Amino acid sequence: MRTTLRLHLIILAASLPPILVLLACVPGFKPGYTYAFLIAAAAAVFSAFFSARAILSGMVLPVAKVSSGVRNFIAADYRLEAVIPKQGWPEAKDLISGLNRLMLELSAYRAFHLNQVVEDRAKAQALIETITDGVMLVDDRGQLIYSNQKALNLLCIPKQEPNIALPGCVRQQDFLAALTDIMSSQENNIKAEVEVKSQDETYSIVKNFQVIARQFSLATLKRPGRIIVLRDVTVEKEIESARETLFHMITHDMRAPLTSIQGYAQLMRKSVGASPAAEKGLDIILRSSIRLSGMIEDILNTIKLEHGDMKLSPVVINAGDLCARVFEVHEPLAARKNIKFSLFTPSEKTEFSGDIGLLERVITNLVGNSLKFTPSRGNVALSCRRAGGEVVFSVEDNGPGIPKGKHAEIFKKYAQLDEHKFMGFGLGLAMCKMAVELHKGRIWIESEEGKGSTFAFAVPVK
Amino acid sequence: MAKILIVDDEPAIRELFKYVFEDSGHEVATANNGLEALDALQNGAPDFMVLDISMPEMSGTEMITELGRRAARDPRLGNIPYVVMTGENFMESELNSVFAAASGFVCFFPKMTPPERVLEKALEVFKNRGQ
Repeated sequence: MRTTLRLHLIILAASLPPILVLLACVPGFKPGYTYAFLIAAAAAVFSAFFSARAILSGMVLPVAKVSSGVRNFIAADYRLEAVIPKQGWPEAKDLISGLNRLMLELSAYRAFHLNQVVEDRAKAQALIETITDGVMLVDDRGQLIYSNQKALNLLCIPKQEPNIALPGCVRQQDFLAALTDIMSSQENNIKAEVEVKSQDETYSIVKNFQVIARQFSLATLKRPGRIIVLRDVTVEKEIESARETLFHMITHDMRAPLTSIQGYAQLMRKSVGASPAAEKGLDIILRSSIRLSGMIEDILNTIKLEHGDMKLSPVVINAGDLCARVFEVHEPLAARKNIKFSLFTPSEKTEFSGDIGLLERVITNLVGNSLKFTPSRGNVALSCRRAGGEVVFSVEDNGPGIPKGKHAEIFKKYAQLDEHKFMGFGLGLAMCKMAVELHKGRIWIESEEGKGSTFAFAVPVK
Repeated sequence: MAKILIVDDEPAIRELFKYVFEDSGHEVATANNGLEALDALQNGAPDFMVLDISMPEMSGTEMITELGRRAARDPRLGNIPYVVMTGENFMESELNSVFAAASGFVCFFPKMTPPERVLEKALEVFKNRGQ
């Protein structure tokens, strides 16, 4: 053993100099000294041997055990097969004890964290496999990191396929087209509708899916990947379409009796020499039926606009005349509510091309809203003007205003501010937006809560 | 010197506690689950127990309930002080209703609390009980 030999030599070397010094100091060499020298040398060798043994078992061997123990611990992936037996001098025992403690702690931590990772993964897996949507995580190159079985089934990807990449491995043609678009887009949030046709022996089935893609970051990914959700919205679509059909049927069938009411009310006003009270009653009947037919018109328009069935019938429109007509219809209502209602039209003739019926409904809706929400003694102003290549219409009021966060939302179908719940269908502004956009125009709102709102839209002159 | 029983299904955690407790001069027995622990208790009640909750075959909660039942017959089992090592997956209310209600319960420790701190608690209990 090299360490043992080295220790012996060191201690021997350390004990020899005093003997040599002693020899050198003795004047003249006498024969008796040889024995003394030999005895001293033997004593030195002897003590070297025993001191080396003591140091060896007290310190060197324990240290050697420690280092081989640590090596084994690391080689066994930080699992401690057996603690290092305590041996040697007290310092060595302390060292071994401390080290054992550290290795035990490390292996316990390792086991604890491994258990936790396995458990977390099992939880996530259970959740993801249970939900009915297809869910996938892909990296920035489209390589599949994780997916549930549902997603693989929908995209017709066999599970055993290694290195699944999107959109390359997608075998379902309808999803392939949508996912190709999504993967090539740089946008953060993408929503797409996919109609999936499948054929079994007797029927061909069409299902509607919504594909939602959103960017996400993982610590291990240099660039953001994507989370993609495939959601079956077939039932929602069917319900939506059934609701729309019902709506359409009801409103369509309501038109005929309404026309009779209007017609006969007008006839009665002309032919019957009515008393002032009857005159007033007939006026109310007429006004209400006009409002009702406006609402029906809005519903039908919304459905047509949404389905892309709306055909514009453009004519040359005088913007001032159009505003004046809407103004005139609403004046009595403003007066009844004690609202100061004013009209501002340009002095020069401002003409543009558009669908007069549809645009009249748009302005009627904007004015109607303002009059509805502006309190008594408030102001509402309707105006139109030419600005560049556009005609701009605006309705300004000093009513309660609309919170900033809701500006985009209120143009959505059935959107209503919480405080205005049940005050109408929530279709008006959605219809306005679609109608203005069909004219290649734009609609916007400027409003501050508590200070009032301005609804405006602009349509191109030509 | 006290007799301490460590009940945990994870060998690495069992070994860690055993080593630290033995190093401080205590006598340590270990059990892999509640069932083994109840078997070990037949050879005499320890002075202190460290319990894990989720274990195969018999969990810590089941073991304490069963221990309560057995204590009715054998009073020595009735008052063994013990601490419970909790993971993150348990409802506090559920734990309290089983453990805190049982006699002998000392406190909860979050899992991976250093064994030295658990031992300190044990020594405190011994001191209070006049051992």
